[in-house]
Amino acid sequence: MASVEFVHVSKRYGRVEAVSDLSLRIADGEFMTLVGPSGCGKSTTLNMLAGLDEVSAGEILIDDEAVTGMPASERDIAMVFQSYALYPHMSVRDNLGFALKVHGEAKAAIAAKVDRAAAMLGIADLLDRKPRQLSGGQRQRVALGRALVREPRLFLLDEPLSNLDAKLRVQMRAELRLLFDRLETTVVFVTHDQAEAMTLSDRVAIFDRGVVQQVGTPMELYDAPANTFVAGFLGSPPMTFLEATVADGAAGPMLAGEGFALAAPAPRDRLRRGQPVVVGIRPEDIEVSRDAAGHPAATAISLVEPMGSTTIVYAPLGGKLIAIETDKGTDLAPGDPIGIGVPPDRLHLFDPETGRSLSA
Amino acid sequence: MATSTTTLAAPTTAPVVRRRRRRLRDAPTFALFLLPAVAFLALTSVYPLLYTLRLSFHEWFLNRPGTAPAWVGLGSYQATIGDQVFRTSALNTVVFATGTVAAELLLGLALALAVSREGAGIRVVRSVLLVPMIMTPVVVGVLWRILLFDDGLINYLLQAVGLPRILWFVDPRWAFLGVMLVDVWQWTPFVLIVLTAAIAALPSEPFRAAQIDGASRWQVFRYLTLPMLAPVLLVTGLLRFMDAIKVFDTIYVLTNGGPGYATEMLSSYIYKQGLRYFNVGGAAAASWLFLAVVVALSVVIVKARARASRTAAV
Amino acid sequence: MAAVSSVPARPAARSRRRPSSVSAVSWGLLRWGTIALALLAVLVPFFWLVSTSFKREVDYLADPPRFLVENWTLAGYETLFSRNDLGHFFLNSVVVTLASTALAVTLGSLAAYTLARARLPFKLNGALAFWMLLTRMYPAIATAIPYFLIIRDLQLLDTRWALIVTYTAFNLPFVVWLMIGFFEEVPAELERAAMIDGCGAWQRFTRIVLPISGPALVATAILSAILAWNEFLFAVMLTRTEAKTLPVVMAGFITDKGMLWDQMTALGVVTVLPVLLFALAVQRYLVRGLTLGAVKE
Ligand SMILES: Nc1ncnc2c1ncn2[C@@H]1O[C@H](COP(=O)(O)OP(=O)(O)O)[C@@H](O)[C@H]1O
Ligand SMILES: [Mg+2]
Repeated sequence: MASVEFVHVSKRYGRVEAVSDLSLRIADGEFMTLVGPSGCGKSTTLNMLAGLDEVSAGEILIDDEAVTGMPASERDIAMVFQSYALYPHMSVRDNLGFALKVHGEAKAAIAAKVDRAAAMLGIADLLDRKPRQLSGGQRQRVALGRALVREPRLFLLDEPLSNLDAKLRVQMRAELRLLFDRLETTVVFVTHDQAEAMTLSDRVAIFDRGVVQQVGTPMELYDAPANTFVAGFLGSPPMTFLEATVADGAAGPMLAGEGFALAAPAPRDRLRRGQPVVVGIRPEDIEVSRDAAGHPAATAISLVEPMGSTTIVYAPLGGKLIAIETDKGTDLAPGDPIGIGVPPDRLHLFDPETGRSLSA
Repeated sequence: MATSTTTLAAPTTAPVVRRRRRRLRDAPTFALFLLPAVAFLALTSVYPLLYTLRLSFHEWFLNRPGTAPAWVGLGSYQATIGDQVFRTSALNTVVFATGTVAAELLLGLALALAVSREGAGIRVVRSVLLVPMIMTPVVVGVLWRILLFDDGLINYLLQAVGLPRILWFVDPRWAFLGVMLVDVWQWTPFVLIVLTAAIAALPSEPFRAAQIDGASRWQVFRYLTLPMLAPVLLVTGLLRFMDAIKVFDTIYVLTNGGPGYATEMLSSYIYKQGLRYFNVGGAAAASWLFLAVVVALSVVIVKARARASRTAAV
Repeated sequence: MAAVSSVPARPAARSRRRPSSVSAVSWGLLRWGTIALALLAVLVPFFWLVSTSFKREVDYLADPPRFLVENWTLAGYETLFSRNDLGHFFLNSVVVTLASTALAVTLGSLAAYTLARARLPFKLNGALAFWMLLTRMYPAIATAIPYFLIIRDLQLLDTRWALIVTYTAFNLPFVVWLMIGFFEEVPAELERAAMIDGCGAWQRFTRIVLPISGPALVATAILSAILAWNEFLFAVMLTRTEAKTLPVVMAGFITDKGMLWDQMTALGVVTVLPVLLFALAVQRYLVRGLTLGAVKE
């Protein structure tokens, strides 16, 4: 159990700034996810916390103690790697017990802990195999087990699910959450997959190009994204962004763009007439009207994608292809004329220059 | 443990106690790992090399007891460069290395193509073809001395196909060809091994595509196999060249540089200068002239390797 | 990176069969003809070496040469062994080979690991690796004379130590160069995992990297051993009587003993056979080590 704090941490590789001025506090027992596209500095952040990479500037505190310069082996942390990094020449049993052995624990104690971790992960019958005799999912469990055995104060996981096939990934995701709920240990989890970030985390930190964009609970980030990057990153299919200008309408300010007009959300006094904005619309917030004639946002369906539980339809609007989530029973078909409406309080407005949210 | 009073979310900009030194904990281990090898090489290669350099500016004959090295500046270099035998040796070495390496690359490539297809017995074939390069060079020299003997097996075989006998160790030209023949016999296997591995590592997709495109066997070789092997051929050729210019053992046993100076190479020249005529200064000067060429070539090799790996990475 | 495909790649197109086509048949002939010639070129001389060692003088000096004779004999071996202390020289070769190989592989792999993994100051990694390459490339003859003088002044002439040190020096750069390549192939994440598990550099090396690199070490050791076993120039220069190795004894026959071909070839067989058997037994590793320099990357 441990808290973690990054204090103005930066990491430079030559001229590349992999992480810029990161300040982030992770509470004791929290499941914190660092998410962002590939190359945004997530792994670098995790490696600095682990003690595998040095910080270029700033300070990292674990349990309010500065750990700069402390070797990884002394930080009392466990880490799961994307490639699993199982020791190929050791059996599963030896892989699990290796850290304890290095730390000089007694054989009997090691055996007991290994057995307990193996039972917890359902890999007890694999203990005498070598890593190459395991399937991807089994290797993944062994990698987790190797971390569990340590009973560390902090778990670090770097894209642990990325090498699994889609089905197994979803299954392991749920198991991971149950496991760490039980352990009540602080977890820092890195992924590029927004679904993993949304489903697993207590809180999420979204990275882009080495800079944290927003930190919060998954639903806070989803409902109130701080900028277009966060808004576009979370959610699948992603939010559609339309360019519009604030205009006067019969019932108050409108957001008018190329071929559409939508009622502006409250509070409206922030909006100046003629102000350009970016309008963000989530697929599930759209109300489809079959009565397209004279509708302020009229278009026609170009594509229908049945997903099973829902159906996503796409239609051109404002120069973009807008994604619309509908019921699975929908009878919408390509070519059907529709009108698009969004409840004003479900619209997200952003500054076209900075990308920052205008809602806050 | 160092302490920090930083608390909670508002991050401080205040300097916190650092412990940079502990980061370097692996450093002493790595230093211990590296030091023995570096020290060993410094003593066994750098020091003798510098010693040679020093001697090359002196005149000193080991067989004149009581004499000490006498400074002659560049005298030894002048004498060496002016020595007809040195120049012959240098030329011989270059011709020898160029000729043998070219032959080895050609033969090695042909053989590698022949044995690269898996099949019954091909493993055994590959093992057998390896033998010459593992055999002790001195033994190779002795063996070929026997084979090339006037009444020996090779002359017998030449006669059998209607050719005249060759006096391998009497005629300077044939002697030179003879030592080249032995080197080719000995080292073609190296080229063969490297190319076989390189061919096995080629991606199969381009060949499948060429098959679909209906390319002929020659076209496949000319436009796929050869260009893809080119970097490896280059590096292998350079590595072989570096070894070929150092040839000593087989020459020592086969011809000892003779007849006359027909097969004298730089290595045997230096050896004789130093350990037969005890002309230490001359041997040292020749050594450094030799070294200069080798170092220049090494730089070329390093560059070629880098380029080859870049090409291969594309 | 090498163009290594995970599919065991055969240059399929070149070797593909067009069933019953004339070109396929003539290609097969050409191919097997080449192979047969190459086999003959290797095996006939080798057979000559072995068979001569079992022939009598009348047979091995006969003109025309006799491939098979009626009276095979062990006389060559008997004379060779009775007139020379061959056991002693054989032991010299073995001791010098084993000791120098062990030393070179130990020192070399430690250094190679450091060069592959540690970030040394002053760009030392590249500089040292380049130095090793140069050391492997330069002609040993260039240091022969001072080397001889140094060994003489140290009173080490004609001792096994002189050769052990020499061959270690020869093989060290070679070992380092090969092992750097192998160690760089060990995934960095494995070592990061080991760091997290509490290992320092020494433990990472001995418990993770070395066990994984077993085959590479074997390959490197084999190549070093072959080089030491076969070395001649420094052996002939630094030894007189006591510490002579087999190649030196062999060369002695050329100058002293004229046409004693039975003894010469017998000694040739004794010299070559151990290294051949050894090499063929571990051929897989041998090939890997040999091809590394040129095919890797
Ligand atoms: N050892 C390194 N040397 C140079 N640049 C690096 C190194 N490691 C990472 N980077 C760069 O830092 C950035 C962040 O990398 P990383 O933290 O691995 O991203 P990710 O979010 O995908 O895990 C990338 O632009 C990457 O190219
Ligand atoms: Mg990453």
